[in-house]
Amino acid sequence: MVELRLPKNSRISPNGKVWDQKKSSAKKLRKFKVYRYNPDEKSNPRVDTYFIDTSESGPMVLDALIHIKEEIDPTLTFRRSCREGICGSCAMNIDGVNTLACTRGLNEIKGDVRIYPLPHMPVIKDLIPDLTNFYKQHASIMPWLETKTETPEKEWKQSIDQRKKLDDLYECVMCACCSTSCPSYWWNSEKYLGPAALLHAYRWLVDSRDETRDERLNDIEDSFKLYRCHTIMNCARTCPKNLNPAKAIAEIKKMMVEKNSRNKQ
Amino acid sequence: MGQNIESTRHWIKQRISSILLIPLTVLFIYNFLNVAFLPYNEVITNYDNIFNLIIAFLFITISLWHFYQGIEVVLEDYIHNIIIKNLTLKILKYFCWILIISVCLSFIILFRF
Repeated sequence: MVELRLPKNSRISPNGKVWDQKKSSAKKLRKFKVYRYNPDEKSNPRVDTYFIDTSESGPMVLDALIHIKEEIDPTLTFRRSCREGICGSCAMNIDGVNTLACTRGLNEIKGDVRIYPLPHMPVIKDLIPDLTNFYKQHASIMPWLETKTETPEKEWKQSIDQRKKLDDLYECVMCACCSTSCPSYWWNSEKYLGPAALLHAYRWLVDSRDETRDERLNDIEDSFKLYRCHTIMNCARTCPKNLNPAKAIAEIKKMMVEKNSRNKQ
Repeated sequence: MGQNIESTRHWIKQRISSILLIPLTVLFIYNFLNVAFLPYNEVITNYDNIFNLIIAFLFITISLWHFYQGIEVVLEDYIHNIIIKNLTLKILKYFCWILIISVCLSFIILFRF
């Protein structure tokens, strides 16, 4: 049965620490409220408060987090790598929206900066969610080229128009912002593939070089794997790369109807 | 992993019922507002018209069909205990059938008498 409250050990304790390092010379002082959880402490998560002079850090939320880690609290844990929205590592919930910390400017946020891990995922530590199930689902859609004909000597050719079909699909960086913003994925993350995996599934379904379209469609034809998408559209709204997984899912559903009517004939 | 054609069929049925409900809802509301404030006898006379009767019948039955399809998905979403889920779905299915049969009977009675 669906749970309306967080499990007892996941509820945020009111005993968050305030790291008061206000400097009188601070030019642009901002308050950061950051979710903290350490499984080794055997205590509930808390929200710590930090004060940062943002004129001393870079312009992005990730810069502020790095500043906190380097200057105030080295125990703060988060994933980051490329710092330019390519790797998808620093996905987190910032100011109530799932996004990449490296591409979200501090000037886009009014008031306190609230930073939480991606919602409805088990938390490993602080801002790091456990993405094991998410990656497993991605692997299940076979995110690689499947062919039946013999491999050509040089390359698998594709026309410009065929290649164009992959635009707005291949750019997905698997940050999990979309899947973790989807209420349907919150309730059924074990069975529903989620917007990210389905966007990737569609990316291979429309790839002119792939020769296993029907097999791919058969694999995801399931009332849970695919049809849990209720076009809530949170995925399209939150995607930091401005992609539209909901549209991709709708296209898969259309392909599914076409496949079944084709097979009937 | 394997295909489950029934899931696609369910999705298609939901789309068909919702498309059918667009004109039916408009016609039903139009008819309903025409007779809403009339005395009982005049309402009955209005439903003597076979067209009005068919519109009302189709609207109610397709609405119930659409309701059942929708609630089925909602229950699948939120109830993870298979026994409770199947039981609730069965109760709802019977409830919808009872309502459809009641509508049929009432319209037959209305039309014949």
